[in-house]
Amino acid sequence: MHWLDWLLIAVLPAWVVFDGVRRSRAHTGLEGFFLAGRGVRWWAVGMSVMATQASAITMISIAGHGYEHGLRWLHVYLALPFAMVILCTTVVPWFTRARVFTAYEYLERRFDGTTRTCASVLFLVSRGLAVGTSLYAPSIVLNLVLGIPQALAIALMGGVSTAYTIFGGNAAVIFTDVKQMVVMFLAIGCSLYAALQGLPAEVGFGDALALAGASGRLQAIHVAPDAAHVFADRYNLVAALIGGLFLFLGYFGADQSQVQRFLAGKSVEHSKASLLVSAYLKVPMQFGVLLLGALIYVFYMFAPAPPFFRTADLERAVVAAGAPEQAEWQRLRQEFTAVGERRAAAALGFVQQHEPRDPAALRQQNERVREVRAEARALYGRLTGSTEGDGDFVFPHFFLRQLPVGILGLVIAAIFVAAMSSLDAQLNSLATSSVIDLYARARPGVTEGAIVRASRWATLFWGLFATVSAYWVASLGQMIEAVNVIGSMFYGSLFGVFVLGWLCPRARGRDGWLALAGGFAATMFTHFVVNAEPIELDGRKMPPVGFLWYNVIGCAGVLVVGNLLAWRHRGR
Amino acid sequence: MSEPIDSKTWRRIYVATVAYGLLTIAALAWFTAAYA
Repeated sequence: MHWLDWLLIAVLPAWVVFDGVRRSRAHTGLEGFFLAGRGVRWWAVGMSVMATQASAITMISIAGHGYEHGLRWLHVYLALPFAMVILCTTVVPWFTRARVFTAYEYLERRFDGTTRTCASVLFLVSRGLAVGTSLYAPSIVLNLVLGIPQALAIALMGGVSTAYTIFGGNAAVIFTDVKQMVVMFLAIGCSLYAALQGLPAEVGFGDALALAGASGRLQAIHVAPDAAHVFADRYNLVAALIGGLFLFLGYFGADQSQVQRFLAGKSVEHSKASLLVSAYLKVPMQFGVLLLGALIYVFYMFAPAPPFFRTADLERAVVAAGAPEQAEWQRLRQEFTAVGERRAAAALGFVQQHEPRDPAALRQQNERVREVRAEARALYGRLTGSTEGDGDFVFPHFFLRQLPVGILGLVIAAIFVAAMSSLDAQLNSLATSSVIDLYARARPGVTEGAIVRASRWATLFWGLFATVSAYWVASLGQMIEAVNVIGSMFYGSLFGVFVLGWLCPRARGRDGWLALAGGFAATMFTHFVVNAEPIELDGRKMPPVGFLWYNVIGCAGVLVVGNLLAWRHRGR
Repeated sequence: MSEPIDSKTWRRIYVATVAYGLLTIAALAWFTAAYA
């Protein structure tokens, strides 16, 4: 790698962190540490809201998803503008006017202290389970680029993020996030440009789109043909609009890692405007990253690629296994090269056709490529016992070989800062909820200074927790789906209890936490009982209820149980 | 955003945001029909 790339990798993250901590010095005391003195402008909070959600997974895993499955992941974000409008008219004014530090503090005022504790614990468990993923994704890149062990990479990233979050609190989180987001946008734009530049001269942008479309990589909207598909297929318009709406209402309205961002707004108007930044920018940003994955798929129609992008791991396993496996790997490589050449010819033939083009030959060769890749994946699974694919290794394989000097350093730096921008907000919010909702409530009369000190210790604890759990994440499969499945198991119920407080004035006291338990039980029942028996749709086995619906089920469960309980208070 | 925004303007902003969400879906549906 060129010295300029190394310089960018070292200097960009260091500058982002240094400047963030420097700016956070002005914010002292409880409100200063937890909410940046409630004095941040809308665009800065808005960028921080986006950066919190856009981790390194956004760059690596979503581009890998785009390569493997095309634009279908975009469904998850379609409901975001609608969710933001609902949040701007409900929870944002409630929370900012109540001058709370955490979302769950509001629940104590509306229901009781137990409801607040239960909601806080539910958040700590769900966020704690997901936090490790923010570290695992960039450790792949560090491992590939620098050759250092993933364990060391995880420790390095976790250590830096934890350190500046301990010193700077929420202000450091927000001011680093703004710059991290700008670096990410630049990196996505440059990668898209590089993917197009790497195509043969006779393949223009329109041809690349046609090739991606003919290969099933550009289906952004899918309408399910029947009810079974609506519930079971994870990516369809109805599930996206209903399930996705509840996912984002729960994530942005009841997950402290996001609520703490907009609570730092200068006024209720700045807080509302900060959420609208995501409403307008999130879908185009995700579209850009998924399109990048689809264009990398087209790029590898013409450029040499391995049958399995996790090549180094597979080759190590093959060498350790013995001669028969080495012969099988050799055969797969040769077969993949031959199939790849036939596909390149079919792709060029497709491009040179007059409209309407016939994609049959290209699709036939794509299917052969898919079969050989599946064989390589099966070999890897057989030798290592791993169920992981190679989706998270596609984008690193591409940029390490294709990006020009300077841009490569920028993209790698962007992946590091993206990891930090997501991790810092999570650590900050986990520490805040642990201390404000649990520690400070258990010790009435504790001083402000003691609370801030406890928060710094809590940040250190959660930083260590994230680092250790990142090792476990590796066994979850492709990460982007894992994170959203875990989140969906909790968000619906968490948001449901806020909705219950709003829509059911009779519900009070312990109705809150009992309803929360009911909603969570409904989600668990769906995941572990209803989805225990997969059904077969279109030749694929899948759970009968897709994960986006968990959000609706959790929220509905809370409302049903809460209303039944509130019935007891009628006439009082 | 130095001046407070009145409720009528907020309503317009919300309507514009919902319209943007619907237009995004329509644009993606067109993109799917054109290329997929």
